[in-house]
Amino acid sequence: MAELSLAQAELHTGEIPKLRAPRTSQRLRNIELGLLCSAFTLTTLAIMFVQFGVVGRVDIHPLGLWTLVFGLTLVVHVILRMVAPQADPLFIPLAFTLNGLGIAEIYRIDLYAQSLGWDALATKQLAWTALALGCVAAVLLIVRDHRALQRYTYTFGLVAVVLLLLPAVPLIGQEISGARVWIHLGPLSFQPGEIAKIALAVFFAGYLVSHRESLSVVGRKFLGIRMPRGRDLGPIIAVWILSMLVIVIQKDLGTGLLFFGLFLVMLYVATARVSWVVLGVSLILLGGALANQFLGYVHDRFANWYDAFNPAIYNAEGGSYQVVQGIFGLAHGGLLGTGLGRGMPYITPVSQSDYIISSLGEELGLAGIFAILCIYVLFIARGLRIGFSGHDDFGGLLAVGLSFVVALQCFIVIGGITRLLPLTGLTTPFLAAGGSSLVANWIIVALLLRISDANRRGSGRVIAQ
Amino acid sequence: MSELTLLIFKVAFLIALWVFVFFVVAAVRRDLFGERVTKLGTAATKQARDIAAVFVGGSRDSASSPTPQSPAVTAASGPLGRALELVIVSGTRVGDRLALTTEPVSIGRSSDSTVVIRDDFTSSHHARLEYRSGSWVVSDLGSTNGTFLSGKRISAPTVIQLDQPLTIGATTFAIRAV
Repeated sequence: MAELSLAQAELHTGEIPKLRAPRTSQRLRNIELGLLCSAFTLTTLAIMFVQFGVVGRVDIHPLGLWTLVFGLTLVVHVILRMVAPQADPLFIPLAFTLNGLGIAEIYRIDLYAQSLGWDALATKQLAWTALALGCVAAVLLIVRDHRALQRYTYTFGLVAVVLLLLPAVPLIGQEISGARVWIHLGPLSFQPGEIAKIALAVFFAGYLVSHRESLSVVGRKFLGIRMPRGRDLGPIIAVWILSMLVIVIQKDLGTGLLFFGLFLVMLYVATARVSWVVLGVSLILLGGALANQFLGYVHDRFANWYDAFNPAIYNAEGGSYQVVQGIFGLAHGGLLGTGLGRGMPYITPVSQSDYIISSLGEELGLAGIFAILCIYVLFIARGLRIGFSGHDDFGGLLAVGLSFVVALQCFIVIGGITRLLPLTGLTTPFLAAGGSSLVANWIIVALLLRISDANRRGSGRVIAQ
Repeated sequence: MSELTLLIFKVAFLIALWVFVFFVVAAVRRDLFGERVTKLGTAATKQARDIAAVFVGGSRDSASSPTPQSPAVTAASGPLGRALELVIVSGTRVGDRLALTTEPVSIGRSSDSTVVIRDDFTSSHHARLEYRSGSWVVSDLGSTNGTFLSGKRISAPTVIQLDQPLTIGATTFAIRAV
């Protein structure tokens, strides 16, 4: 008996799964810290090489500001250790790297344009990054459980619509380069559509999770496709038509495509019906053809795309000059690029925001662009994986929606620059100069971190998929 | 700044960029490897439990004896018998598994449930599974659309057998030995 109880005691001490949890969380955060430090080294190198390339010496001022931003990122890292220790370790380092590479390239163009201090876009971008990191901390501290967001499904739907309508309000709305998507509050200008995409993703996720059975099972068959009941589809179609209307009025093609793609993918993920995708893609093609026919600015975009190298279109007002210059820039870069600070990306209009990818492509070459694309792919793949590994459907659907928004935005922008698609005015996530986009994408990071933390915490109960 | 230095800088930066990407990929691989270790860990725990069960069964002749002697008729038994899990066998989240301990498991639409199902056919607190003296018992919590065991709607707490289909809304569960 004594031997027996000894054996049992040994078996008892052998059961240690509960001890493993804190060590895992520590491990994930340590990976994050390590990657964050290498990301800081890499981005600091980028800023220094820009300075060597353009002026031939190191200026300590921008490096100091970037170190300050790194300090703020470390604060977010410490907050994660406290409130979301099991969160995925890749998001913050990846987003930080893209953000830093973007600032280096914006700074490079600032150096050419000799804009310094608060007039420089790079300084503004640094300030926006600090603000965005503050938003990350706030979201992590306020949203302790992402499932609470589901309770406000319809509130988020309403918020999205209001945000989209804001630029049309006379006093605060503002029209920049043909698109009325900005609001002006004192010294700050902001694109509320960027925040609206997050609110819409929350709304779609909340709505689809509770209605997808009705959407996919109930309904009449029509042309071999099961059409849902009107009352199931009503609210979501209403929000969609409303956002489309806003976009037609505000002349912002890219945002329209982005929202519709988001809507389509979330519907497909929730119901697993290919018929939705078929229907949606044909709607996009139909909409594109109609817009090309009847909307002047869309027609111009199409002409700039399929006949870009035609001298008449190249020289026309609002013609393909920008598209072609972007491609010339990429070609100038070649395989290895001209080196940071050694190219001529400033020739392309808005080379700091919409065309940042062609600026980076010129100076880092194909090799550099592929590394940047790899960073995006890793970011998006992690997001989608969170969507699949969770045990609550709302979080999963939200994670898929949010990472897909980033993916689609990259595709639309980079596709537009490389002349795969007609050019639309969207920002490259994290890279491009622009505060609202930066804040929105960092909030996406915060939500993905929160969902991944909840998934891993629950992994004590759900063993495997 | 000579052209050669700038060329070296250019190549050095590209290398640094790619080294960073490979760092990240390596971290993901380590992450995956870490998860595999956890799985081995649970397998080892399961083995330890099986051995413990043999010991307990041999020495105490306990009521919650392991199932192998009479597998055909035994109700789903407890944590010392065999490690059990609740598996979703049909529905939108087919393949999901939940390890069963002695803790009760609640199923419903509300987010405080152990297993959260969100569809039009599930009530917010739909059903509960409890471990009572060696077997798992399912009880309906006054749901609108009912809880079905092997296709029959249950009206009172019922003992659930291994592999017996338990249907709630559009989802079917079964308790299985790991």
